[in-house]
Amino acid sequence: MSVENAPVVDVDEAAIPVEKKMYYRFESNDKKEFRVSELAIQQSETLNRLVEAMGYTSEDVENKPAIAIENIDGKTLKLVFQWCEHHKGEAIPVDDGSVPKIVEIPEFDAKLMDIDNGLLFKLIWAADYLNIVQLLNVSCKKVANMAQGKTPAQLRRVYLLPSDEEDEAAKRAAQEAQDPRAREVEEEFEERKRQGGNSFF
Amino acid sequence: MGLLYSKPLEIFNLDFSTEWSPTPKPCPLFRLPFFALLEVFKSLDPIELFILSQCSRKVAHCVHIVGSKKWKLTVYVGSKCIKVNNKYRLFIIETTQKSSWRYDKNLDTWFLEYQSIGNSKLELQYVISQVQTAFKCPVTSFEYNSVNKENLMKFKSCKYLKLSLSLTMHDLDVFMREWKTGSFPNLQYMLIVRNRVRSTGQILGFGKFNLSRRDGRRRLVIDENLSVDCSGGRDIKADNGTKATMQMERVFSDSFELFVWNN
Repeated sequence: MSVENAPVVDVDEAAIPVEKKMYYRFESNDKKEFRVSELAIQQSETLNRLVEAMGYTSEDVENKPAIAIENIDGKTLKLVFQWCEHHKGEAIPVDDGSVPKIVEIPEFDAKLMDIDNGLLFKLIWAADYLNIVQLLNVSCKKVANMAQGKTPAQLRRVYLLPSDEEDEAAKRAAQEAQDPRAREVEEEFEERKRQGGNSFF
Repeated sequence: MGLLYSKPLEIFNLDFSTEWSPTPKPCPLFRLPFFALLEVFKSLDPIELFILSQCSRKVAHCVHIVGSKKWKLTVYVGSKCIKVNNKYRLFIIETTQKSSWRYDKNLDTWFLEYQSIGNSKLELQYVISQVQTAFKCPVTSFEYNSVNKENLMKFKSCKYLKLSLSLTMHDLDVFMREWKTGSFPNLQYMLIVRNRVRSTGQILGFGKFNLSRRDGRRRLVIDENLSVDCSGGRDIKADNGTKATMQMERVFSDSFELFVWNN
């Protein structure tokens, strides 16, 4: 099954078994609606607790407004729910504390995460916010894989890490922004030092 | 019903373009939520994590959140190699070129090539201190190729010593008298092989025959991955009351071992 065709929005009614399945409706912050199965929702601790607390019946799901997820956009939420549908029913992994953590990225997940880093970044935020343990594991593994064979200079570029000098400059800029007099005082101090003054105060 | 949230994600909605571009867009690591950052750190092997720590002081100060305080560092002084958790190796080698990092894919090993300034030991010490600063873990063991009885006394902070030395019964006696005064407070186990032991001579008043005797088995647990079995020898006590056992000929015919019991 291709990533694009994963059953998130469109549900193949014929494929639904005889027993009644519950599908919840969610809405992204850009008003895109998704229908997600109860079993898929169990991958997200946050959503699972939410729907449990709401206690919706099948009628409620249809009659009441879709559950709004106000801080995740439709593009990201689509990926999240595609992932949840594909992995529904799977056990939630437990961290055994080993370092480096052994995380295999399945083919489906690899294809799903074949996206630009901006979207990957949003996917990680969503996985963290919705508490989807395995999605967080695989997406963070993908970020970690970017470090393979890289030197510190290359890692600074890949992970957008400022150098010590840049950190210092940012700190100075922040201080100056807080106190505009700070720079003037510092310049005056330097000037007096150049003139051979013994004491500034 | 809306899903409540305390941290709006919009502030992180950076303007990333999904269109094709010749260079991949960076992934701003330190804008990830804490648990995601921790997951990324956990997915890196210790050497990758150390290299990451070299990006800046800020990074160096936070990589230990993976729990690296419990890691084991072994330093191979002769080959200038630092091994983390008995598996991940970093070699420090001299070069005439500018200092740089090099990854050998076939060996799956990192090399830190540095421009020689005349004292290669200084570079090793510098890297060890960097590793310790980042991981906040102690060096568990140093492995030397050439140690003599004069510099044996330098290892006073070591927990585990495994040496190939040519010591006489008298040398071992001198060392043990020093240990008895409490000069090696961290030492838990020591093995010295290739000794020039003779039937004559004594260590703390015990002859070779007494120290080689076998009676009973006791296990000394040094840490969760390392334990050694004592199968006899003679029990002794340091001036501060620490109990220990000296044993000879358990490993080889020329070996001397000291087991220090925690309680």
